[in-house]
Amino acid sequence: MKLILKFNLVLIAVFLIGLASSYYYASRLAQRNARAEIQENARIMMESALAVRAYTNSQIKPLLDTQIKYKFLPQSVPSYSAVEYFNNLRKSFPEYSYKEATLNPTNLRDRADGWEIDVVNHFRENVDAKELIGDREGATGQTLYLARPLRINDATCLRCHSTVESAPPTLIDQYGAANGFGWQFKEAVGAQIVTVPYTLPQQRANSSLRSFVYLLVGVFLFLFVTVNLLLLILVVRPVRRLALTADQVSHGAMDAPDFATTGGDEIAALGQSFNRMRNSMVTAINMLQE
Amino acid sequence: MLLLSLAPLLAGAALNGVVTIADGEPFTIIRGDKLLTAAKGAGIASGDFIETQPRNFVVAELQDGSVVAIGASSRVYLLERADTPTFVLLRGWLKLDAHPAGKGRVQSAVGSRLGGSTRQGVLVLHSGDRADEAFHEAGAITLLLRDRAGRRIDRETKVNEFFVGEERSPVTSAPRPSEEFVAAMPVPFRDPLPDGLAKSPRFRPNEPKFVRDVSYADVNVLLTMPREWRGGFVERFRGRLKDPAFFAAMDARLSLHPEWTQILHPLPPPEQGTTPPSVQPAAAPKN
Ligand code: HEC
Repeated sequence: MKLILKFNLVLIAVFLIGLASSYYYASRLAQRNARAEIQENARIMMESALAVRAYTNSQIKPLLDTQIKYKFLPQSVPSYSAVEYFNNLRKSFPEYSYKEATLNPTNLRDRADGWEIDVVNHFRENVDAKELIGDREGATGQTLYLARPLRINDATCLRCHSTVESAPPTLIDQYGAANGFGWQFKEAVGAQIVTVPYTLPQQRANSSLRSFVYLLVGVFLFLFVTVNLLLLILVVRPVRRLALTADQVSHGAMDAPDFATTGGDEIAALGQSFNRMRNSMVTAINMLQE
Repeated sequence: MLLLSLAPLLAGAALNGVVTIADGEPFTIIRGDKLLTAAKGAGIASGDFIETQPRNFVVAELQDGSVVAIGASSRVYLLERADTPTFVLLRGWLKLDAHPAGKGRVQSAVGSRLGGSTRQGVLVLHSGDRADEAFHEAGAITLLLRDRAGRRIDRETKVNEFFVGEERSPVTSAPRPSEEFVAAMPVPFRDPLPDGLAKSPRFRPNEPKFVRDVSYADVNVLLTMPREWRGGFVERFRGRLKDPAFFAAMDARLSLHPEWTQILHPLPPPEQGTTPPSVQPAAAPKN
């Protein structure tokens, strides 16, 4: 087996092992980063929902307190403004979603269904639970959900959510008397649920992983060509010439030209040794012939 | 002059304030027997009769901290009463936010069929062609009612309660204002009335401007409103009888305000009992 072939086989084997292990670690890292990014996105969405709720409660509601005596304005309700805010956000990010999933909602668009009921029940059963994170297969691929309980920690909420009689009459005009009542103090009536798709950050992670692999392969190819050229110029060709000269000398061509040496590397030293050896041999043979 | 402007202050139940918002065209005030035109910055006082135009929205802050708003095409008489300063709404819309800070005397806002009084509260009153309507927006309000015999049967109302008083039928109440009421109500009435504008450094007093002496048509609604509110009118408008047109118009409608009969046609002294009164009107114009 040729020297260069041996070299290349070993080089390729080492490269493939290196590529496989770095791909493995890089993809694990990318997955982890993508998940962290998704969770971060979900947290930001959750916090902005809470911020919109707080803003509505502290600044909008007082402005509309008088108006709702004449006509109920849902704009005064924190829950409504958070949902509307996300409906606007979804025009640019349709895969994201926010819902105030509630078992017995005032506005039926907030009704918890399917898996959301399980999330709400988790909070009803675990009074101390503050947050729930999980993955699920959605219509648009895998998604992460982040949920927080909607608990009635403030007795003023019950003015509108306990009995039909205590609620503002204009609220009943708008929403009817059938649902959204009978909530209890401290009860977890629902959950805020944010869902964020995996697709986007995952796509991003995959594409950076791909670039990383291309880069590795490129670096390897460059190395491969360079090492081969060096081997050829510095080792293979001089050795082949030396072998040719040795051949000629061995067949009796004592006048074969000297092996030309350049530089001070090991091959040059070998050439010089060879030349010296041949010269000694020629001298010895000449002495014998005299 | 100074005494004159202090007079309402000293009187027990005087109303006194300034107009802080007057959207739309200028509106009119009848003060004494003069017709004035007024805009933002105008002062108002007991005895004034305010009439707004179809595009007006007027807010006035009263000296005691209360705020009152008057809708478009409305007529409001500021009645001076010994006990309670009273806004008499003869037509249109009025919203009274009495003493938002919580200190003060009882005030009332009344239509010809329905009214309310409050020490601290917000009341919206509408006076229409066939009915008066009142809405208790906030605070504590007493609905002013009379039974068939004319006895007062006032009652406390609940927040959000809505009342309709029609001619010759008992007042009805509902736990919320009717849709028609809300739809017809001036939109700014849906918000709390702005207060503190009169204290703003940008506020400029702007006294109402004299237009002319009142005609009979100007004051006809005043002269014909329920009797208990007509006190003082004889002295107030008597001077206008010098105007023959005023005299003639008044004379033609004497049955609507019989208290003027004596003024226009005083009974002759007993010894001249034979002369019919209509022949020698005492206050008749000279020319
Ligand atoms: C003035 C009445 C009022 C008060 C007070 C009020 N809410 Fe609501 N709430 C509403 C209305 C109306 C809706 C439906 C809004 C919509 O159309 O989305 C609602 C919706 C909600 C929802 C979404 C689920 C549903 O019922 O549609 C939650 C959760 C909620 N409220 C919680 C609270 C909490 C917690 C408080 C106390 C901090 C509170 N509410 C106080 C009127 C009120």
